Amino acid sequence: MRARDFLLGLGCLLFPALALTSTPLLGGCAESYDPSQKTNVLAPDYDIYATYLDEYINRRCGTLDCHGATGRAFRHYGALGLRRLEGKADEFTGEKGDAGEVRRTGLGATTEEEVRANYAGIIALEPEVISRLVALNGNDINARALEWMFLRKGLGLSDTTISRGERHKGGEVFKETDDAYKCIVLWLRARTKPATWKNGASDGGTSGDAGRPSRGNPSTPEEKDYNDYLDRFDRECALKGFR
Amino acid sequence: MRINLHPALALTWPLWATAAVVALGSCVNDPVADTRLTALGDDFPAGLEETQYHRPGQPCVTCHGKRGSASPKFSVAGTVFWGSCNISKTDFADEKIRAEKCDLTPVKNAEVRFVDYLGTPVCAVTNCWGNFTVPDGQIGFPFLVSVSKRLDNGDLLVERQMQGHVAREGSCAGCHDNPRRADSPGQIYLFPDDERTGKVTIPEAARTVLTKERGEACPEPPRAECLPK
Repeated sequence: MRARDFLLGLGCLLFPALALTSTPLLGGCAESYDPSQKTNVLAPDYDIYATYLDEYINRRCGTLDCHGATGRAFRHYGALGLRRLEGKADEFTGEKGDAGEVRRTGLGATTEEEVRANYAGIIALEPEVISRLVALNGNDINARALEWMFLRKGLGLSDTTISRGERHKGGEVFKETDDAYKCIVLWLRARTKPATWKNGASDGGTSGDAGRPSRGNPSTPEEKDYNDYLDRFDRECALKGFR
Repeated sequence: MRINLHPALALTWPLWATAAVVALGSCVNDPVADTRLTALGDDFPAGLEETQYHRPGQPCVTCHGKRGSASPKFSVAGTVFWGSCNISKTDFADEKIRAEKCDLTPVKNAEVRFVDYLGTPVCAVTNCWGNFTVPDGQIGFPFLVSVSKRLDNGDLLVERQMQGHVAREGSCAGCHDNPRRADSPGQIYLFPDDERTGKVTIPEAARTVLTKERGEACPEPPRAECLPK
C-alpha cells in the first residue's frame, strides 16, 4: 500500500469524526440568546380575519386529519376540528388549557380564544414575510402575495401552479382564481384604519352586525377608502358556501 | 477467490456497509407504521382474525393502506356503532359505568355514503361487526360522508351526516377514537349520548332492531349493495 492510499483511507475515517466533534465547538462560539430582544410584526387586521377568513380556513385546512392536529407546525383550532383546551385539565388526556372550560370537537361554536390563537398561528408562520407584505400597503400585492408560504402551500403543485405552489401533503386546497384566495390576498392588502374612524353607534358611527368590523360614517377621503375596502370583503369574501 | 479492494475502500467498508443496511432498512421497516401497528394490540375477535370482521373500531388503513403490509388495500374503512363510548380507560374498567355510558355494539347493514370532490358517489354497507371498506382507488380525497340505518322494510331509521369533510385520512378511526375530546369526536355512532350525563341513549325503535340483529348469525357477509336513497 502506498502512502497516498493510506492517507486517503485515513481521511475517510477521520473526516466524519472531525465533523461530528467540531459541530458543538462551533455552536459554542455562536452568539448567546438575548431574551429581551423582540421583533415587531406588522400584521393584517384581526377583526377582518375573524369575520371573513377564520371559518373558511378552519373548513379547508383545519380538519382533524390535517392542520387540526396537535403535531402540526401550523395548527388551526375550530368547532369542527381541534379544540383549544381552555381550562381545567382534560379528564381524559390530563392536558391543561389557559382558562375556561374544556372543549370537545364537534360541540359548541368556535371561541374567541380559538380565533385569536388561529390568527397568531397564521402570522407566526412567517412573520417577517407578513410584515413585508403588509408594509406594501396594497401596492404590487397580487404579484408578491406568493412570497408567503401559507398561500404557496395551499396552491399545492397542480398543473397550473407547479411553478408557483409548494409541495403540500394536503395537495391543492385552493386555486388563485378562487374567491377565497382573492379574499386572503385582499386581507394582506391591508389598509390602516383611519384615526378618526367611528367604531360604533356610541361614537356616532353605524354599529355593524354582530362579529363584523364596525362601519363608521365616512366623512374624509381616508375614511371612505377604508369603508370601500370593507365593502370589498362583503362582496368578494362570500365564504359561507365553502366546505 | 481473492478480491482486490482499493485500499481506501478496504479501510472504510464497514461504514459503507452500515450505511447501506440503514438505507435499505428504512425502506423496508417503517418505525412510525410499526409503532402504530404494535399499539393496536392483538387481533380480535377470537376466531375471526384477519377477516373482514376483525379489529372493529381500529384504524384499518394503518395496515390496509399504502404503507401497511395487509391486503386488500382500502381507500377508506371504518366501523359504525349504535351508541357512543365517551369514558376514560379507568371508567371503562368499571362495569356499571361501562354499561351506562359506553356502547360498543356494531351496526349491521348500516349504509355509509360518500361523495368525493369530483362528485363521485360511493356507498358501502357494514358487516355484522360494523366494519365497512372502500377498495383502493374507488374514491378520491377530500370527500363528504354520511351514515344511515334502515329498517327491514326499507324505511329510514336514522341518518347522520359528518359536519366537516375528510381531507386525507383513510381510516375513520384515525380521527374517530374514544373518548370524545378536544381532538377526537369519539367513535362513529348512530345515536349520541346525553351531553349532560354521558348516558348512552338509544330510542326504542332502534333498540328493537339492535336486539333482533344481536340474535342473528355472525359472521355473515353484509348486504351486497346500499338500498336506493
